[in-house]
Amino acid sequence: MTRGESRRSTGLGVPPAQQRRGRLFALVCMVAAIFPVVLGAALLGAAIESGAGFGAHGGLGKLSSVDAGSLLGSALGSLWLVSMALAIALPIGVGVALHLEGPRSRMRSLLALNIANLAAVPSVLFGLVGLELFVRALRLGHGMLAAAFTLALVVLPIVAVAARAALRAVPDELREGGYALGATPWQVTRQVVLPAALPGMLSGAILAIARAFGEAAPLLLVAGFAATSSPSVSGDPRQILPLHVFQVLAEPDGPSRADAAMSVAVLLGTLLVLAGWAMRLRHRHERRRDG
Amino acid sequence: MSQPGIKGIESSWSVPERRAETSITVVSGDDDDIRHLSPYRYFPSGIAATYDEGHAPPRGGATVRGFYDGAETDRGGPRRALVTMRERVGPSTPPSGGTKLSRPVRTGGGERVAGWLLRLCAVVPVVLTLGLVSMLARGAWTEQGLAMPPGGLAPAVMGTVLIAGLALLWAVPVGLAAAIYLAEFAPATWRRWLRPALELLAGVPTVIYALLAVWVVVPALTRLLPGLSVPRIVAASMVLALMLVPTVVSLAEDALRTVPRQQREAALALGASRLRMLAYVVLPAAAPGIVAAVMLALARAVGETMIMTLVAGRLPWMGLDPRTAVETLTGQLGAAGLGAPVTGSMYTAGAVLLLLSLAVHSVGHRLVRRAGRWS
Amino acid sequence: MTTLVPKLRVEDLCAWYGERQILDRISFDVPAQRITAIIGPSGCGKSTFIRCINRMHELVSDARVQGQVQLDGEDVYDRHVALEQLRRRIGMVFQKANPFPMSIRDNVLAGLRLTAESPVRDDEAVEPALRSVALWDEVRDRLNHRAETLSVGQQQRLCIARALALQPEVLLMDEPCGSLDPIATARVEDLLGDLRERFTIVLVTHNMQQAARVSDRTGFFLGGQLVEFDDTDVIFTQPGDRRTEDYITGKFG
Repeated sequence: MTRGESRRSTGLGVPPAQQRRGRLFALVCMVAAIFPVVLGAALLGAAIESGAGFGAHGGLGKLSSVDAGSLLGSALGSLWLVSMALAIALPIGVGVALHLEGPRSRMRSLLALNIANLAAVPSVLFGLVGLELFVRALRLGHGMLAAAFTLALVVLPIVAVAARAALRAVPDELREGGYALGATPWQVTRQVVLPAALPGMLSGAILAIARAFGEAAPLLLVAGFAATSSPSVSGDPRQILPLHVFQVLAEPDGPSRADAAMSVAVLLGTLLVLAGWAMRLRHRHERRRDG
Repeated sequence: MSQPGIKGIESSWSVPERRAETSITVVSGDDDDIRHLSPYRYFPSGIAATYDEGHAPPRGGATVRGFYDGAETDRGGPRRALVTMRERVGPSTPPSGGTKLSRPVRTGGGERVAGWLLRLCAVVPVVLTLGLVSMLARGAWTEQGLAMPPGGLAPAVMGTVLIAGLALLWAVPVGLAAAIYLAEFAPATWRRWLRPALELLAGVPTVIYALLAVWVVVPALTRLLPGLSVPRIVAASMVLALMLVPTVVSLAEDALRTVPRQQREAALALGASRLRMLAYVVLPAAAPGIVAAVMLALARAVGETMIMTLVAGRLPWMGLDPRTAVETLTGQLGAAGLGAPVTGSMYTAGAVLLLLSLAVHSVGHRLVRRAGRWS
Repeated sequence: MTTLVPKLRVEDLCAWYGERQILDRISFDVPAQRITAIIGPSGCGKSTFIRCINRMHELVSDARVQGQVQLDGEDVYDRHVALEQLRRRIGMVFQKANPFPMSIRDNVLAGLRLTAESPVRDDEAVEPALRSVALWDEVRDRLNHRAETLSVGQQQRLCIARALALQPEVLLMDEPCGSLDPIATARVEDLLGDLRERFTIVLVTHNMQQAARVSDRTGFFLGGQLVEFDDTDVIFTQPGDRRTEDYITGKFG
């Protein structure tokens, strides 16, 4: 039978075997999409459960052994550290993005490439920079301030990239509209572009906050685990939440498992709140843009 | 059904000080063409020039009519739309008549200060890069030439590549299948929930992933395979994979979505099943983007520190077989957190790590940009 | 209107995008082995109409269809219809040439490869398909070149060849000359004359002269409704509806 004949003889009704294969494939893909989410959630739940032991001993279980004071201290320490880091990184990052969106030049494209590469540098390497620059050269010691500067280095490229994306999303027609009214470049930037890019920048900033909250690797080097020096006046970075979790794994006689589990819970809760906020922001922004 | 050929679109924006409101009405144009355009596309760039004489629209506003040629329609080809733009200007508009065109607008020093501040900001990343590179070079080049850890760097590089590779082996098939689901099959509501959920997974601090591995994955594996000492590589690569899946999914999905609709429709109109369309048309076209997704995930894996240090590394008390511990580049740096002094060999490991991750990343970055050219 | 064997029968076809109705109760017969032109101002639903015939319309999310389209008496909207079979029997050519990013040869064979049960290796389908669109002599020496290297007009003919290689029964053409220059348009129109013997062609065009030149039957769409459907001669010489006359004499559109 030639191909033509076989085609003509088939009506519209017979679903070929392909179709079943297609449905099976779609099913496999769906499972693949759901599986990591479910697995991640289950593992996180199991981890917190195994540390805090809800229900196992009735009531609060091991939770009663949690040192609430030190947990609160850790959370506040994290908050303080992240605020300092963001206060440094946000203005600079937005500034970099604004500069990059100026008239095209060879210099700017090199700079953009540089920032894209910086965003890809493993964060632990910024720890080395922080150690060398802030702890040793600037003599800040193994304190909160050095940790904040180091963390700022880590999130700076993230903020810059996100801010640049937000600026790029502002339609050119808006800029042209501003220029057509006789505004200067800086006036257009401040009064037209920045307000329009604000939601995008804000969700970028939230992303950076979430990242900064959980970042531990660069702080390993800056926090000075080997050093026995007393913490500086600005606080002890060894006590922040991620390092708290780290210590429970790294040192046999570190904080208790229940402590670490609560730290994890607090970290995850913060992350959830931030992510939910960012999502709502993005959602609202998209809806407004779509009219 | 609306009257054919007539469509009104209103859009407004405001400049805080001048309170200019622009409303644009497209008087004629194709209903079908307009449907897929966002209102922003209707700010006709060509029209703004119509009132450039006075640099601002006259007091009380003006009505301008003109042709807007730029509309890219979904049915191909630019179209011309006759556009009427009505512009109302609020009371606080500065008088624009009478001033000479050559007279510069008074802006104060703000303009210049802002420019310098921005330039200053832009210098920071450059300084940071130079600092990073010089510091690594100087630290690695201490007293005795290249400072090497005992045993050389080869085991650490091998260990890093091994764990990252193994993690990709788990993460890429799952991530790719998930991306195909999200891009091709998922109903909008599922997609709206799954994507953020996956992104959330990417946002979980890596130290928590390390904790997962040690507290949950390793005990579970030992229970599943009794009597067998679980290689740390397996546990480490599994949690690492969980962390990488979202990266693969999000980039691969973007790559799949850039394949033009016309290509998909051409395949479907020929009688291809969705599966064939995917295999013969969509996946080949998205291939650069998918490879880029894998490369960027690899770059992330190589630079991952906490899992490498805590799960794969040498922590004898943790109940894993210490003989199966693996040296990794980031593990050597992370050792500082375990009380090891910061030595020259850490800088050497850091330098190698930097080179490795930048090499992988730049390949991925370039491919992403090439993939974008498709549409 | 002389009676001819109907290939397609459209009955009370309605289509929507979300809440917006695009087609309103379209009913007529498309004769076999003839060219049927659909004309009308842009936005009148003619593209949507032919996308409903091979069920491409429903690819757009929130698109909806109601009514019947019968191919040889079989309703294409029946629950048991396999879309792949349907689209294999009803080929389609789009307004913008959309060759796949592969070689010319692979483009012609793409339909066969995309639908074959077993891998396709034979090149024997390439020459007749390219000959039937008068492209063979132009590209015979560079079958392995990429399709993007062809001119837009050649690309469009390649897309027609790609559809023909599957030997469909019906060929839907959505403004196939919409993005072509006059010379390339003339070549495609010549081609249509040759193809009418072998296929049932539904041609959407906003070019009235084109419809008058090549088609046997013409339907005039306006605002989602079929205003008039008749022999092309009748439509262009003595239209039965005032609106048709206004349109073809250029009073609007």
